[in-house]
Amino acid sequence: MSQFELTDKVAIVTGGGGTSHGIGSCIAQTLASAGAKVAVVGRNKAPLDQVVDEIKSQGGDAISVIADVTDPVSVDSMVAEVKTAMGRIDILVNSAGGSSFGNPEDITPEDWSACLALNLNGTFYCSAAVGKEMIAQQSGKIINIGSSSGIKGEENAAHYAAAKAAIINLTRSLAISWAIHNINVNCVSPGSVDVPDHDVPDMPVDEYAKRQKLQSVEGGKPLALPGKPQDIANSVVFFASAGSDGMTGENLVVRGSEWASAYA
Amino acid sequence: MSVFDLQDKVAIVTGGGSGIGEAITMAYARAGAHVVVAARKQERLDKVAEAVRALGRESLAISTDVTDPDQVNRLIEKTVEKFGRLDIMVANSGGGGFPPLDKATLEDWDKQIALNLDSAFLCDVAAAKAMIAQGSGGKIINISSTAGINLNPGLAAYAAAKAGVINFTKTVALSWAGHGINVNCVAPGFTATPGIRKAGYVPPEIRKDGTKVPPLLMPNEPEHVADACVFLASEASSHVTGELMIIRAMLHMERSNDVARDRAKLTV
Repeated sequence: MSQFELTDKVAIVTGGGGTSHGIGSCIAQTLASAGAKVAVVGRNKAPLDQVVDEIKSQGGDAISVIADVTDPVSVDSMVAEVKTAMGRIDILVNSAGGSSFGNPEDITPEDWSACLALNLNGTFYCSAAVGKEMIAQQSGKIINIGSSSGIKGEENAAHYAAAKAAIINLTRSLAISWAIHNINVNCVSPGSVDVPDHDVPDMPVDEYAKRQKLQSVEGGKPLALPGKPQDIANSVVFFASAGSDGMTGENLVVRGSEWASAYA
Repeated sequence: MSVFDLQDKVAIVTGGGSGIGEAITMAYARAGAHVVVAARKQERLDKVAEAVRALGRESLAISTDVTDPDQVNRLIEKTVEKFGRLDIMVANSGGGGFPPLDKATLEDWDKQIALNLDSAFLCDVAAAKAMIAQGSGGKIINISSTAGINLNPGLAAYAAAKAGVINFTKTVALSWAGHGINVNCVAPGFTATPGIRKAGYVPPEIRKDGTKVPPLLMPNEPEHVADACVFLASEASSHVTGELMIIRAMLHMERSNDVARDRAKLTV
């Protein structure tokens, strides 16, 4: 068996319905094809069930669990439900997230709070609840989804960039706290990801045009183009597998050559 | 076939005769690659090459001084001559050792910079030229060290060179992105290579009270570094370039005083 296989591991993927970027659903499917049993978690049943059906049609094992990651009570019952259905939890992928777009001066306190709740609070609530299970079993892999925005800032989404920066540092705190319990906590931070436009209703026209332009660069080499959800999912499998047993607290940015920024 | 496979890829691992380099070589061979091992000591290389062949993969053992441009170029030529191509270059040669700062000469400094930083420059550029000529991209992995990120008393030149490797990686990653070449860096922390183990620097795995030290609080195993190198050589990391992966065992949390003492011993 290769060190990158996940045979019989139980994984939770939040945001697994893939309603926004398709990253969560791709992660769920890729973990399943690496051998994991996957609990696909999200707010809306229909897209979750669709992902579960796709996994099952490939011969995999999956369940859908409805939960709101911004609500700690909902998170606790989600964890209990997964444990009852699948017996244990080996892998948690915190991929629930998303953002509105706008100039910093136009971000309302409500936008700000909602963005931090979805991205940061959700990651913390799920990590804490699943972390307790992993401490009890003295093993586990937690993979947070950050963003290159969390390193370089983001002109159109300051609230999102702040939340993602916090996730990158939360990753380190959880890693040093739980190393003694044999729990690896790492972060995968996507740069631009190839997003079907209809999936991002809030994206402003200029932002959309910018991405379109990036995607249509004449003769553009793959590294210069936005990544694919599969690129993110492959890195998640690496951090979910025994192949990354020596790594914890790290943040791997998956952004091709999209390095042009004042802040790296 | 999994996205982590390296089936029939052709790789060069410098410093492949021992320690971390040997672990990378064997992990590549297990993942399906043919591996050329390069280092100064022919005898060690021959042994590793034999182990690769025992896995049913091909190998060449080429004695190389990676600080010598002619020898590095010859390494690439011989590889391409034998296999027809080069897909993966791991610039892993290096080593520490520096006199106390008040005794250190410019010659001591230059030697360390040559072995740890010049070697990455020479290997990366020579490999990239071959990869660009092939036109099908490639993977370059530079092995730095946590010494290149954290302070490292007693290893000033090594630490400076390893920091240089990290930033060199980022720069050339952008330079060669248009050619489909991924260039990344792996920085191992304290790693329990056979040499380090033999020298007695690895703390005991069992505590005085009989309990086991959790793996993350022990030194890294060479295989941990090798697995990250498999990932970075594989299709699974095709959108990762210019990045740094740190293999950072947190052994200081378990035995900070002992580790500090062991590190000090290493730097004498």
